[in-house]
Amino acid sequence: MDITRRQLLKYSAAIAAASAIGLELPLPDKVDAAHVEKWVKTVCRYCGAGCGVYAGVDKGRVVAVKGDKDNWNKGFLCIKGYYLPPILYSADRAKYPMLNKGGKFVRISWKEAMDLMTEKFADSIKKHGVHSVAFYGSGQAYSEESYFMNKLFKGGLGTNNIDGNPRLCMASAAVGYVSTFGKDEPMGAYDDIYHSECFFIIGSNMAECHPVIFRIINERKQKDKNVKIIMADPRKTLSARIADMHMSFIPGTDLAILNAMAHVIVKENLYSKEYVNHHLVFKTVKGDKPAKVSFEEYVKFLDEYTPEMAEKVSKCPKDDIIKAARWFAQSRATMSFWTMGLNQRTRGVWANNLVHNLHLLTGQINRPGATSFSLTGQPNACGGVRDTGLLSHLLPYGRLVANEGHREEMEKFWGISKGKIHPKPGPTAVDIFRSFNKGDIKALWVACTNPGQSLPNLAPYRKGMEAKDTFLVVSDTYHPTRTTELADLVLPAALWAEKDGTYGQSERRYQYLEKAVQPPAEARPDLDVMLEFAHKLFSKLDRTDEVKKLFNFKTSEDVWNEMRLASKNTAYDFMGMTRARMKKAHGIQWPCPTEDHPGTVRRYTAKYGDVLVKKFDPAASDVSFYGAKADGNRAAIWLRPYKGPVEPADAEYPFVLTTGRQIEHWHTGTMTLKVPELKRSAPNAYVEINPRDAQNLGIKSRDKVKLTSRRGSIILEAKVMDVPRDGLVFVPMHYPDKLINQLTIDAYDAMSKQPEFKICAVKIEKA
Amino acid sequence: MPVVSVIVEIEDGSGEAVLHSLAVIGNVSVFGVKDNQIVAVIEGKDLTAIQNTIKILYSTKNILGAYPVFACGYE
Repeated sequence: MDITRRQLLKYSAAIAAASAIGLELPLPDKVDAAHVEKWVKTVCRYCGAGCGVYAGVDKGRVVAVKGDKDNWNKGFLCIKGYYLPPILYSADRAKYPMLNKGGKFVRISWKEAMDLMTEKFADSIKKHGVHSVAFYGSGQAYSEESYFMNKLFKGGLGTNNIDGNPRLCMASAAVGYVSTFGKDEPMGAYDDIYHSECFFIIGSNMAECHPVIFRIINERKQKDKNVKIIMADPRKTLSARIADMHMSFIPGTDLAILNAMAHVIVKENLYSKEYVNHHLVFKTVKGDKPAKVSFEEYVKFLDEYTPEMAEKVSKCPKDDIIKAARWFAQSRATMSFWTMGLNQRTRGVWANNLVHNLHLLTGQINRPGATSFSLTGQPNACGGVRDTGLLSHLLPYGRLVANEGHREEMEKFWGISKGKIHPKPGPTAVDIFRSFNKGDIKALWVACTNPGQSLPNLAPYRKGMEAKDTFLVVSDTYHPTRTTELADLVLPAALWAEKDGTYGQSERRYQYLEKAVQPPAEARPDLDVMLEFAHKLFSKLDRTDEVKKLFNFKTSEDVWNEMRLASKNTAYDFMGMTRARMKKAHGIQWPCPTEDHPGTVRRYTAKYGDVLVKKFDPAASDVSFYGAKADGNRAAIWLRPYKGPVEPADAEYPFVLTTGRQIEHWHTGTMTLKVPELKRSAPNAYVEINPRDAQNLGIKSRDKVKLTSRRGSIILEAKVMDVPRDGLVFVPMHYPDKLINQLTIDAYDAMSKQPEFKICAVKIEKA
Repeated sequence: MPVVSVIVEIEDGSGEAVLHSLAVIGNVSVFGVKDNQIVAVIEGKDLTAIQNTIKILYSTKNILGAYPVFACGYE
């Protein structure tokens, strides 16, 4: 039968979708004909879920996408994923190096750009020392790029003035894992969703922020009537639609709720004696230092956290707290998820510890379906920043700047002199920009991120970035952005599908992204630019002889191979992930120590396949938290008291402002707002107001309202909707013309240094 | 003219009702059903039309979500 091209497209699309769910379609002949020249295996550019994607290329352009049915996402994509191609062809792609001359950007050559940039950095180092320069990276950069910059700064230059935007989104999760389990990153996987019977989702709007992961939970709920979903969130988001229980509470009071759940679990004897006796230590902080306590002391600590006390503090009904604790403890397998609702807090690490506590206390861990899982916001925050050690306190693969032994290991590995790596952790994200404001940092390179929009308490930092006595270089794929507009020099960067490299997503899955098309005009992969920068900078510093030893890389595969070696014999070991293997595989989960190793779905359990248990804890029969060697390979239950936010609502500013994502957009909107269809679907910022609050204020939907915090004001359109609880307002963070971060607070968690984006006090007036 | 295939996830036992609902949406073709999942293809004069259709799907009774799997025809 003859079919038209249009029918062919329809059938091709239908086949792709049907195969994703294992459905065979009766189709006419000729439908196998591809309408693209080739399909290139890659990974979605957006969130940390890490969906496998194929980019369809025709005549040198990406013209189609389809989900990778052989990857964990089984061919599914979210609405942002299938709009990927247009982000490559936006009219505002940065195509040439641009120099800011008195507020006007003029095109210059790459040679001029690199000469100027290296001259500025070299001059600063010569005049003011190595701590006068800094790099601010991204959880969206490829792993090879981040590893390279970490080596250049910490190993080559000897400064820890290097941090990244994951500090703003998941540092609390990272420190939470390290403080509880001894090593960073989740022990479980998305595969656990298929085995779980109870989902405890707190501070996460998965339906909009991680839709493809949420789809699996949805499927579990539909297929198994025993599945319970608990949604703990001050907003009744789309995610709550399938919840069996929505626990609403005053923002910032969840620490009391989590301790109260532990209280119920202990009082009702629902805890695991096996875990308490064999796999746990109990810890508190005495003075400034961690101190071990007994299980009995922990029980005593929990005494005050009765469900009644938690209800009084949080306004979450005590019966809900009791029911949630029972469901959590008694289900066949419980899995927790959280994101920024816990992480972007001044007590973010504590909140993470308290979720881990529930899993450890009940033994809901280390078996299929039972795990404590932090979701990730960016596609490579885990693999590219946490693992490579791009943060200012880290060295690659679980090593710490402050640990002399770890520094020596990396100095030896990098072939640099002993003592070259500075022993003091460098400034974190907010503090890098504070130092830049003060002029202590004189030359700063920002790559693949948009701090001119994304930093909290934005106004002073924007002013600092604009200052004339410092030098700001920004590498980006678009220009202008709210950061490039402040730069002295803008470098045009290749985007997704225009370069090759590696991403590592939330479940420790590393995936190779193949290059599919050429970048536009003079845009270049960041790694090329970084290599050239290192060579030229070292030449200007009269250190040419060191360049070959330190930066003898020609391709991203060269860097990847050094990264594999750096991971060898660590808890991250991915020696088995050769580039050739990665090109074929649909992601591999570390640890993966040998080329014949299939990857590890669940860590810390020998029974379910973690070969490193026997390596690091030969005496263990199954479970071993081998990252916590100092505690006898036991995980820590932390006694973390309830503390509220830094800036709760008060008489003068009676509402709490929280920010977050919409399903159509991602982060600062530099990509999704360039897709006309997504922009038309969600074109403008707004403020969500609860109907009762709106009635009290005399505000109706579409009214213009003025939101004011102690740091700034903004005028937005009101959306009156029963989503935020009383006293809470929500504003999406994506819109460059409405910089909501001018209102947010830059106070940060003392342990993770992650700012409290999620809670600050505001007042509302009709504009 | 873009073409997008989606998996429409529906509530248990609602297959027939949802198929009736989809039948009245002009630019949606159903290709198959498996358990609580429907394979559908959306056509539109542009991506905005497709986006609007997906919004309609989300607001349709018994539909829990619509997940794009494949998109083509951007040229």
